[in-house]
Amino acid sequence: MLETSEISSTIRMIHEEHLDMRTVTMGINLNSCVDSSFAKTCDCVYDRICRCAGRLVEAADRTGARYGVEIVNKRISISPASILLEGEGRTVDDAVALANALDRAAESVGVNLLGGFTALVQKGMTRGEALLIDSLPAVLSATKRVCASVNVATTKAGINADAVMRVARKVVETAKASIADRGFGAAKLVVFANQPEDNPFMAGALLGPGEAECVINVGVSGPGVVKRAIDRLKKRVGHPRLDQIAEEAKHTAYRVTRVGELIGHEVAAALGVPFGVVDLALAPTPAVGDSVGEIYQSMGLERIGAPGTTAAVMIINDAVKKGGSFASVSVGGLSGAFIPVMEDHALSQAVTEGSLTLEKLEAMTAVCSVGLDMILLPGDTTAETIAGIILDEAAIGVVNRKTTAVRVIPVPGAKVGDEIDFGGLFGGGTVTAPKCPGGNETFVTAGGRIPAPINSLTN
Amino acid sequence: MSMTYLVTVVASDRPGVVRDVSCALFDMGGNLLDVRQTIVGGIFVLNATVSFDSVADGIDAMRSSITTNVLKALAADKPDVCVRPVANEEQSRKQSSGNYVLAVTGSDKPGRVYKISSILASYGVNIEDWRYDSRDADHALSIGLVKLPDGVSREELENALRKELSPLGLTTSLRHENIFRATNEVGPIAALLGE
Repeated sequence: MLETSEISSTIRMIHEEHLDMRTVTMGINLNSCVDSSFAKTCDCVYDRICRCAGRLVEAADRTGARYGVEIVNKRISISPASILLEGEGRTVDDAVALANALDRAAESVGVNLLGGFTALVQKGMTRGEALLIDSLPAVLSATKRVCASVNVATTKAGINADAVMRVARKVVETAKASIADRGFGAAKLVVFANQPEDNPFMAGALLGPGEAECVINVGVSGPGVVKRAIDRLKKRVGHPRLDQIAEEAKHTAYRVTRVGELIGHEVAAALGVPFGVVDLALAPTPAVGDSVGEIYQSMGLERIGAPGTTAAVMIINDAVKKGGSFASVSVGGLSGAFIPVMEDHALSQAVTEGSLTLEKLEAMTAVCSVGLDMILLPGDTTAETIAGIILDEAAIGVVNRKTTAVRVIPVPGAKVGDEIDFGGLFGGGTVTAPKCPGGNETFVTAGGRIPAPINSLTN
Repeated sequence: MSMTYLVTVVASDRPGVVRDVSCALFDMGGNLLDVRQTIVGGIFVLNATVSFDSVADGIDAMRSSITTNVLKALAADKPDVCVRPVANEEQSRKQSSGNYVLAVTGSDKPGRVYKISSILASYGVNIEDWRYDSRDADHALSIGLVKLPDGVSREELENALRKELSPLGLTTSLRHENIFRATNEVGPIAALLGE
């Protein structure tokens, strides 16, 4: 039998430290639904999702109940939807019809979000991909569950500056199209560099071209578990060294990831589909005690954003990856520390207080697992400003051979300092802005492609 | 005829008790199959199954001999010894799969284990291992490895335990054993799941 201390620590993780399965995401390839009749394509999409994922929620809930671990979200990722829009004569109305079919299917099987309304345009853009991007304002304001992503850069391809500008305009238009929801549509759109093809987390979930027909990927979280582990370390040793903190975080990440590995295997077996990856992401929720920012505070950063914050992010991100990689047969997705400002009360508070700026967040994204995520911008933020933000993030990702992303919401009518609350997991926060938002127009509209960096030439 | 016995030894604790018990059994031709030894309340407690290839003088005579020899080996340690033959069907009974770990925490009060075990018995739950540690009287901990019968779900039993135990200030957790093994052991998850 296990040691008493081992049993107690596991129970503590589940009951007191917010350990949960953040998402069980079923990836479904929809490429076989291409038909010369677009109505038939949409019908096929709906039917295939319902057929593949009809038992997803029940299987996930049953497995969660068996272990007494909450599976917070059951979700679906699909193969890039742009492929379904490639046919001759397709229009924005067709894209909206497709998104509506996806939305209805997601509702029908009981999942809260569906990702993969995606275009991969890092090197060039097809008709279907251009159409998908152009349809984003209509799609994201008309649907509830559909999440979109656009990959504008990879280390191998460089950065597609034409695509960056095009999608930046759509970010602004999407926020305006969902003005009744304070621009919430833009919260369901993320722009990537080096987008992972097995990411189970929203809004960037996707079943990439190299993936199986149908697969289960899981996302585990647990920032509260890591924070409490560091707090206990401090209680034990007083003032721990940074290597002691890193070691504690690594071991904790191992234990958290194992829960995902266990439950993911069981759900996949119950549904008769392959198990894909565990994505161990320290993904916060707006709840106190479930915050990545609180980890940095426990590490000794009283004010998040103070010099040293980037190093703290690096320590935790690296520890999470090391612990997670040993825990799972296949770690994938984003795996690391997220810093979604609105979804993390401590980060959000730091932005409100002014200690955490957009520029500091950008520095942190060089060492975290994603990028500028869930950031509220003033309503008059221009597409050129957003394009510049995307280019900067993509540059960080491309050169460092890592994923970076931008998910910003230019809230219609809002000014710096305004408080916005989307509720639920999306959280709330204070509108912020770059210190120097303009003066980049000539550069960001120049178009073309930023060539792949020299360190991409690895063959 | 070979025979297996369960030998329970309770004695004052000191270095060398296990050596003296195992020596006594070895000298009689016994082979230890399973040994569980611990210290409870400062007292040495050992449970062991031991097999003998031959019990020529009969099962009861061998039982008496084991008792006598172990008592003699621990003469200075105030020993109590209980020896019981183990039937073949008992030997073949294996620990079942599908085990759950029950943990109940709260302040130490008389009758607590009785209350918990009564609820478990009423659901037909078999306790396969049990620990109770009340050294911290405010956070006394009961941990049991239990087997749920068919038709009883984890949630149902946990809810029943909570309904009865919460008014007593006790916190209950019932989780499948695999979650504890997954988070504390090193090894492929597939092995836990029998894949």
